[in-house]
Amino acid sequence: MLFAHGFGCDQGMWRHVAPAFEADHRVVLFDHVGAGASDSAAYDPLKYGSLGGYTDDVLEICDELDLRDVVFVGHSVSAMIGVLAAVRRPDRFSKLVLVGPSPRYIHDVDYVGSFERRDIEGLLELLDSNHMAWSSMMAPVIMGNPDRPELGAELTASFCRTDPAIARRFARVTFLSDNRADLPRVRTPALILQCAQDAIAPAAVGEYMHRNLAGSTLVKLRATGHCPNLSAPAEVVAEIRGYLTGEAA
Amino acid sequence: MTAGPPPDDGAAALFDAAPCGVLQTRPDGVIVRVNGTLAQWLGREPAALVGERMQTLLTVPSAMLFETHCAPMLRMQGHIGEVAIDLLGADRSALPVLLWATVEAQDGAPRWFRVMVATAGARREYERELLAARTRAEDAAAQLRRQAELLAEHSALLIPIQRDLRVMPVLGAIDATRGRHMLRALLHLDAAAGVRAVILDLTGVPEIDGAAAEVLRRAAAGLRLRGVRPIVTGLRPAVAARLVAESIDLAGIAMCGTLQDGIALAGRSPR
Repeated sequence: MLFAHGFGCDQGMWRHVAPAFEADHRVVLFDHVGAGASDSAAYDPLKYGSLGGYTDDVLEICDELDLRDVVFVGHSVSAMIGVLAAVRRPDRFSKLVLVGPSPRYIHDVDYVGSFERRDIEGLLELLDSNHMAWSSMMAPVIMGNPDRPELGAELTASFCRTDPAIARRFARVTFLSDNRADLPRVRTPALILQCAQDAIAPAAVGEYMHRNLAGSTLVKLRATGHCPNLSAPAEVVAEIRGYLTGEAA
Repeated sequence: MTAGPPPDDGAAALFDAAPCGVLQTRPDGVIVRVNGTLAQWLGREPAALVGERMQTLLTVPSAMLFETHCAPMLRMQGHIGEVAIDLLGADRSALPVLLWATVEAQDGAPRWFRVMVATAGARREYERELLAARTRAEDAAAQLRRQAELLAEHSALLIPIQRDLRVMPVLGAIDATRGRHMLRALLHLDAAAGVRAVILDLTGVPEIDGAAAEVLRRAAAGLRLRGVRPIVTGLRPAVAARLVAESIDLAGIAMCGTLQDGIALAGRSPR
């Protein structure tokens, strides 16, 4: 099972979900470039100017580790990265688990997404403002507890660290992406986990995914918000396990 | 007369009329308690806000930031602070605030989120200006770097004077970058062009230190290896004085006082 985190965080997002599958699966976690403990120097604006560059990385991980029959679990934008990977290399993947997916975030003619284009600019402005404060805020928090160095390590490890310049570009690539045309090309069975009251990927978008992904299963979670992997890990684990074993959770 | 102790409802009044917005939500964001100050900022009654999700009180971009950054961070580290975010004000316009939140957990699971917001309009405006200024400064620095590189390249121009003669006018100090560009230009001189002499005109060079002299020596040696005669012209008196004072040796390189003398020298065959 290959777990991919979404925009805004890192592989720590899966810490209450991934361990549940370690007994019967090889579990692989990674950070997208610019997030978590990844090497920001590997960031190439051209390559990562579209989701294709991130898809390349997923396929490279599969090749490098020689992963087969992969169950790809992707949250948010990484759900679509999984879709693209499965279209390009269907032989590698046995199932897709898409948590809060959206093929397009911006409204369009005959398509109800989540946002207007100007909302994306608003988000970029907020990111700029917060990155400036967060980057100067982190160090004092860690330095304030010199008698507990493990606190610093834990903080750094769990802070959803992102490289601000990369996060800004990733936000743009994520929220301006349009992968609706790729959905009918997917041959891999997919489980769509749809949260209640998700402002990023609302119910109508989950239903659109379901209609356009042949052979997909749509499950509406009781969990609210956009990050059920953190807010309702038990429910997410149960649904994934039920899907993989072919039983209803 | 001294002020007496606050009345018994002091804590409730402090909560309700505090000069900041305070609210308590379930982990899914549903508001269970909110103070009068925040309700007033939003143009609502406190009771009407109870039962609503906190996310609906935010502008769309702020809700995006909250769901992708704040909610995960709150759950992962139990607190967030100084988050710049916009509430939807009474007139539906953005009300810039800073937000702090902590998690009250029970048996390891979050039970309540406690949230405080403080208005930050002027600060945020100032911050935006700072950010814009930083961006402008970074752009300017990048442009300066590009120009410096361009200048450095142009500082090592080889100008054809005659079919077999080139002049390299050097302007400004010969530092490491300039030296590199000079050597590259001289050593890549096109052999097929039939150049027999190169004049390094130093009229525009204010001083020469040991490293600069080394560049000149290597340039001269390199040219000789290619069968090209190096000539240095335009050495300023002050520069010459320093070379003497510091025993910096440029022996072996033909020297002329002026560029014209150098061109004349190049026209004569070397002894």
